[in-house]
Amino acid sequence: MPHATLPPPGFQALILCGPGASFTTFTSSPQDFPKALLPIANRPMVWYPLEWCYRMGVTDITVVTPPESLQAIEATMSQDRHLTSLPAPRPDILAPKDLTHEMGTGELFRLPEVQDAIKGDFIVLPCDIVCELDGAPLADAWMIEEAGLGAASGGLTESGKIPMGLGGEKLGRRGGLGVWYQTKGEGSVKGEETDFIATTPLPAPIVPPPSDSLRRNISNLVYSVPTDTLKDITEENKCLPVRHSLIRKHGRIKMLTTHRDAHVYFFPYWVIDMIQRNESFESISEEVLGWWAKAGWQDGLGEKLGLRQIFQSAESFDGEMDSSQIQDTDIDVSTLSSTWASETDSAPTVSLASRVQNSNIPQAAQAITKSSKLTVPPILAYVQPSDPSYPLIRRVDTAHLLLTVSLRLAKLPSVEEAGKDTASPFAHQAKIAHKETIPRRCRVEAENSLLAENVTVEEKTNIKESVIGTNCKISEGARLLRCLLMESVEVGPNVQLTDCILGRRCKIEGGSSKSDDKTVLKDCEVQDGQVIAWGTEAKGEKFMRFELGSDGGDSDGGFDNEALMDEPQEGAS
Amino acid sequence: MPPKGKKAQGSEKSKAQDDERDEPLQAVILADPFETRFSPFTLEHPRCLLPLANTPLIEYTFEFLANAGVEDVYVYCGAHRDQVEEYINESKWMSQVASPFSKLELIQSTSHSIGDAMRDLDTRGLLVGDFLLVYGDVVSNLPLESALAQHRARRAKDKNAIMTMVLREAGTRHRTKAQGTSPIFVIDPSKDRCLHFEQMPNKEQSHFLSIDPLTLSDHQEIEIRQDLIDCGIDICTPDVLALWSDNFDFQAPRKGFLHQVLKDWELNGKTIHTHIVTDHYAARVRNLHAYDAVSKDIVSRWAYPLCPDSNLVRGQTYRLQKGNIYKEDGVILARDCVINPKTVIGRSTSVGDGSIISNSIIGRHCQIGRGVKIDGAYIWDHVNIGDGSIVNKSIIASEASLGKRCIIEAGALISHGVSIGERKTILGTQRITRSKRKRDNSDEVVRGEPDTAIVGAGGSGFEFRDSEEEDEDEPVDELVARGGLYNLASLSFSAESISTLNSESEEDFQISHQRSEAGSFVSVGSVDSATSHHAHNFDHDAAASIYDSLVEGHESANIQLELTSLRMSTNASEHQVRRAVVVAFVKRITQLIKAGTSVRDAVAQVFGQHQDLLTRTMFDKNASNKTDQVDFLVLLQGDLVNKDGGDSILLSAATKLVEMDVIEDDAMVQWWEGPKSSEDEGMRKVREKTQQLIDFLNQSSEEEDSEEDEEDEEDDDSE
Repeated sequence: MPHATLPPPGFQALILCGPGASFTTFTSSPQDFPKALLPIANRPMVWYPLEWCYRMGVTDITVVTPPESLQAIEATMSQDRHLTSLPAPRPDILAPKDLTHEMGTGELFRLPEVQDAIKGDFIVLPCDIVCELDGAPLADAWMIEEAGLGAASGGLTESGKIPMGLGGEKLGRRGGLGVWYQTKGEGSVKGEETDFIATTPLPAPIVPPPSDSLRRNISNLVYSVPTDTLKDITEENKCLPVRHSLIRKHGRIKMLTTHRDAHVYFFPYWVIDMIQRNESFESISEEVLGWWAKAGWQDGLGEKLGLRQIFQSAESFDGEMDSSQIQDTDIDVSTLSSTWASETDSAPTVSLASRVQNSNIPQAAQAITKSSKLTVPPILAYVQPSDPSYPLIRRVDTAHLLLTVSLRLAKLPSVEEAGKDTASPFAHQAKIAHKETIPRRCRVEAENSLLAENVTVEEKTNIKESVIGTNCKISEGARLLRCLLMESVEVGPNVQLTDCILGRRCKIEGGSSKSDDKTVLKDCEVQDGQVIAWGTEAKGEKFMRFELGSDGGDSDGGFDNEALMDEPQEGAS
Repeated sequence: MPPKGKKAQGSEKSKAQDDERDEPLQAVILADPFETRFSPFTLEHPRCLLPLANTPLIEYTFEFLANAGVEDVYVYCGAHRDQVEEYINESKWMSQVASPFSKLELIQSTSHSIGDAMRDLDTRGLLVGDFLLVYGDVVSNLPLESALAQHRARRAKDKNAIMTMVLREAGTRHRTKAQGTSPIFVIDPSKDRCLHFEQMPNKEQSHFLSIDPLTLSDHQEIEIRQDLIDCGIDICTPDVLALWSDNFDFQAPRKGFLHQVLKDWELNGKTIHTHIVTDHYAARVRNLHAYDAVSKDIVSRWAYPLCPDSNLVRGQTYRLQKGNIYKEDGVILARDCVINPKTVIGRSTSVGDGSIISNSIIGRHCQIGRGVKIDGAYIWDHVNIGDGSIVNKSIIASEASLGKRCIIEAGALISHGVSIGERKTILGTQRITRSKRKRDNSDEVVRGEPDTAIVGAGGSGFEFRDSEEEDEDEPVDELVARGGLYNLASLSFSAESISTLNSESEEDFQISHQRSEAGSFVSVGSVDSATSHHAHNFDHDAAASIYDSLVEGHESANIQLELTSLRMSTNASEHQVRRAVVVAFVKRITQLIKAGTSVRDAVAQVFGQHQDLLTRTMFDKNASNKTDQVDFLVLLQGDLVNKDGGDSILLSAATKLVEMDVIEDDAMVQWWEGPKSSEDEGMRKVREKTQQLIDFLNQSSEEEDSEEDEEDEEDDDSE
């Protein structure tokens, strides 16, 4: 761990490289070109979570990928200009032998290789997260709200497992933290997947957090379910049933219907135990979070999930360590803090006369039946406000999102323009890598476009709001509006493209401006290596190969067969 | 909320105020909430005059209204009107000089529920603009400017924003919140709009709150709030009263009115908003638990400036001393008595040697003997407490007297004028009174025979049992419930228990269920017990939609279309369709009649236009056994049983139906002879008048006769 110059925040990060089930056009051969390497604004997708980790000072990074994609990822890691320019140390790449693209994230964490790799509190990231928001304040917020003494960074050490309880798990400390963002508003994509969450406010701290603190937007997650599942529930019951036990426990419940889980989680070490014990947890976002959130208020659910054993087995470890170092009693860190009110025993107090604390009936009844009540540490939610001025957080898991996020990033002022200190972390050095190569008689809107290295632009072209990858060639008279071109794409003369995504090495054939034919593509996706003949006019189509050939390049494409390869799989994201 | 509100104020205020400036702000005080939660104290005195920290409850309400800038006040009285009137006439609120109100009027009516009261108010037409609706037990120091401004701004934008509820945020647990049954508000915080209201536990005992999927898809953000004190302050527009009048089923303002109006949002488009305040004090003394909590808040100065030393009533001379002790002039304390903090003592009260008083409120002219221990008790005026008595958390009403060495356990209630002999112990579950109702449901009271087993020799009073309460098979509840009003710390449900003993409270579901039998919709639902939830929805929705179409005068074909689609979607039976039609038609007819149309015209107007619709609900024109038509008539008859003038309506309707050839003569006769039409007393009674028609049909006489018949029938109406 002690690699970085700054003291590390004590987390290790896991980046899960999944299959990209909804990018069928571009990820048909995961062994050559997995989703994690798709370019977003000319950088491989996996660069974004990696950069995010380095930015917040986390250097212990493990990229988890199925073995079939291992080679491609390793190759790109050592060759790609952007990936190699990230600070040292290089991330570890873990390819558990049983991991497939179809495997759920829950199962992934039960694989022995992954279990062994996790040594302490960890951060889970998907490879498709574009998160402008700095991770450090999030980690800070987690530490203020949840961190405990003793095991603040711990799990496994050289001398064995750090026992539970030191961090205050039994008192409801050391929970987790997730991130949610609003999908509506600027740059929203129709039909984007959303998650339904319910949160309750944290007890008001005695000293309010500073105005720029993320803690103002952090609340306690009590319910989380993907919107699709929610639809099933409401269809079955004709309504959404909300249990009274939840309402009794939390007087104020906020429900959000259009936010989405960013799949960025800060987990304490014990979560790995919970996932291990519950074989039925298929995915992190749906089952682990859903059940954990519910266990916070549903009495008895925590026991069902085996949390009592997890927290209390800790005592058996006491003997292994120097007993002099271990105090038998739990440390409630909150009591040591002058700014944090513990909510475990007393109800949150209110300014309006509250000397009589009426414990409610179920709680009172429970106190009689069970001597020790299991307190489940909370899972917190950072819900980003919908204001457009907040930094970008977005998961890129559909082609449409790939395009909109790339174009949004293309609008960021470059480092040259904004200066090194004020530029966004995602800004490129220059909007157009080699300005001098752009001929005079053409129009390239630099403020909203990105042109990578070695791009050839001929005369009379018109490029607006587009992202163009390395080694591309835009021929005379071509017009590009809101397009994303991956590397080595050739656009022939007089071709008109709007809202298109062109895969690597594909070719749009051109023709004379005086010819009767013309090529106009709108809302189209073109797979790697396809050749589109002159005279094609299409709207909303996907140009793909029939067979899954690995040879790329020279197949006689030009056919469209939409949705032929939609794989209905739910896997590591 | 606040930023939005301010913005709204900035942009809309000037315009909205121009509209409103001419109209004075009016307020209605519901002085009697038609409940018996304060029995037995309310047997002899109106609830709004019960002393809270030695000041009558209604004073706090007047203070609040004066603070809110109200000019016209209408006090809606129920029981004990004379006492209320006398008090108000004497008070400063009536005086020309001191009163901040330009108008203060008492309204008396015979209403037995808030619903009736609201409908009565509507017919009186006193209220012209937006008005405040509050109860006679509101204690609040809340300034209402921002709530009013927000309400007006919303109103200027959208005429359908009919009401704003003022709610106080209180946290998950709070002593002033309603205990036991808590209100749950589902709110869209971006628009401050209330989307759904339910109580917990709910009517179905289902242990969950049901949120409509549409609510979820229509709103990005929803809040479920259980942490609010519903202080019963509503800013209403006259449309609210109209809605009450349109729906005769509504009895309770929240559980009935609010719940249903929100549910029918798609039908009537009316929205209800919330104004949630996080500072200032607002509460309602809705039951004895709240009485205790609010008293403590006042003594502890949470409700400042509403506290004893503000001397709200003329002639009060309270002064604050260290430790929240308030004493009026002329209090006589023995040298070695101990007055502990949080105590209020009224004028001319004397406390004997060695007595200890803590956390208590004691009225004027009380005689407290030697060696008395009083803790957490509420003792009203002119009370005598004998030497050596021990009074724990309990209420002792005015002019009561305790003998020597009595023990009053926590939770006991001792009503006006009761006297307890020496060395008696009153249990925490007992309520002692001297009066009882003359008859059930009457306000007159008579003095009952003393029960010496309880009050001892020479005492007067007996244990209070309300016949209404016993009807509700509450005794079982009472045993548990009467664990004591104040044992809150350990068992919170006991707090609500005393208050739920009453019969007419909003929270008692069973009663309200029976009550609403008179209402058309529910009575229909109860006709066949096997109706599933699904089918019940159809009944409700279909009837509501037909009724609305009738009111708006839609074409028969359109109503038919809508009805068919509803029927298909809910898989309802033909029988249900007929029932929905009958309910809607009858409701429309009764409404027209109430508005002054004659029975015959009303029937002709409603039935006449919709021959097609009616024929298509019955499919046995050519069969010999007219089951469908008979069914229709039985439903019609059944629905009219509880209506005023139901018999006349039935006659007119039957005649009209035969005239229109919707019902064939044979079917009419079959119905008359069938067992269902004379099932019980009500059914027989309502069809009596229709005898004429049957006779006529049987004779198959000439045209002229029938006209005479109808004229006769009209004569009947005018009688």
